Amino acid sequence: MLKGHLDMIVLAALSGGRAHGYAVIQEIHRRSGGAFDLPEGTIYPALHRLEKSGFLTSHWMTADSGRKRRVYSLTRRGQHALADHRAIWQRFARAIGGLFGEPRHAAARPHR
Amino acid sequence: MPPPDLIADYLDALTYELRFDPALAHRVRQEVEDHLRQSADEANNCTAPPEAQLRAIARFGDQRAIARQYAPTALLAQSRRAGIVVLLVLAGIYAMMKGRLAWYGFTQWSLSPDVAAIVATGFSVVRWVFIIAVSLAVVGAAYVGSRQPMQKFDSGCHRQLLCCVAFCASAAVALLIAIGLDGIMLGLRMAGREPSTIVVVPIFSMVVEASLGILLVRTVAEAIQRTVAARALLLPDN
Repeated sequence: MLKGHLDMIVLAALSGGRAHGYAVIQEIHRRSGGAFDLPEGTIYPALHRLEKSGFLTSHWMTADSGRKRRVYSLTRRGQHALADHRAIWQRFARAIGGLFGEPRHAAARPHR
Repeated sequence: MPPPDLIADYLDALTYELRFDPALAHRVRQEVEDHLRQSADEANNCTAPPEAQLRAIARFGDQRAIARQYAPTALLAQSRRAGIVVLLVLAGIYAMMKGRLAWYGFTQWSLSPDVAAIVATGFSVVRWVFIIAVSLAVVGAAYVGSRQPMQKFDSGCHRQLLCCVAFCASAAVALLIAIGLDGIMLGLRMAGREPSTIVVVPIFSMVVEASLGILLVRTVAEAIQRTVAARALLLPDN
């Protein structure tokens, strides 16, 4: 299930501002309460794919450690895509919540 | 004896798996190195360096599985680039051929009846070969343009990418035949002719055609080589 939503998860993790791959993984881990513990290497192809699709932009910077680090941020198109994903997901979550909630139909109860 | 640098070994293996796109491999290597070193540095606080590196690598995942995720987008982009080069070379060669014919007319380039007959037959062959090249390039461009990067790199995806480069390669072969025949016909026209300024334009246009041919061969050969190399990604993970 997680694999199909990886792009949305990465976009959401970057909604707080620009970040490098390692920080994106930490953000996903933190915001999901540790529920999404995917192999860290899968994030980088997703970042690359999203960048190629125009949802992200990136540039190199030098970290405090002196290593080169690639930092990603959402483009306007990425922000729109995230807003669309969020709206779809909220509708879906409401619908599922309704289905899994308490049954309120009188017709659903057996008649005496 | 210094401790083994497991991260460097892992990065070498990852770069090897990404050999279907050297520029991408270079970029990914730098990016992943930063990730793994940071991960290992943080783990170093509670464990010894080699173990911290091992843990960071284990959390990162198998290098072939990671390379496989890059392959569909990267290889399709390469096929598209090769397709664009084929179309540009096609346009360039067409312009050179037309320009040369216009020059022959403008300079009233005369030929002996024997040579004129051979050149007329050759021209007809070149025209048909060129039409075949255009047809293959147009069908190939439509095929490559209509492909979307697949989420997963499997044998179906690889077959599709091979099909893209096969279209490029067949159009390129037809174009190379056209260039070769053009060269022979130019040679026939030049045979026995005194060197003069009139011959400079056809020779120049032929040099341009040959250069375009070299560019075409290099681009298509590279696309074929990389797509074929990506077959190794279909093997099971390490």
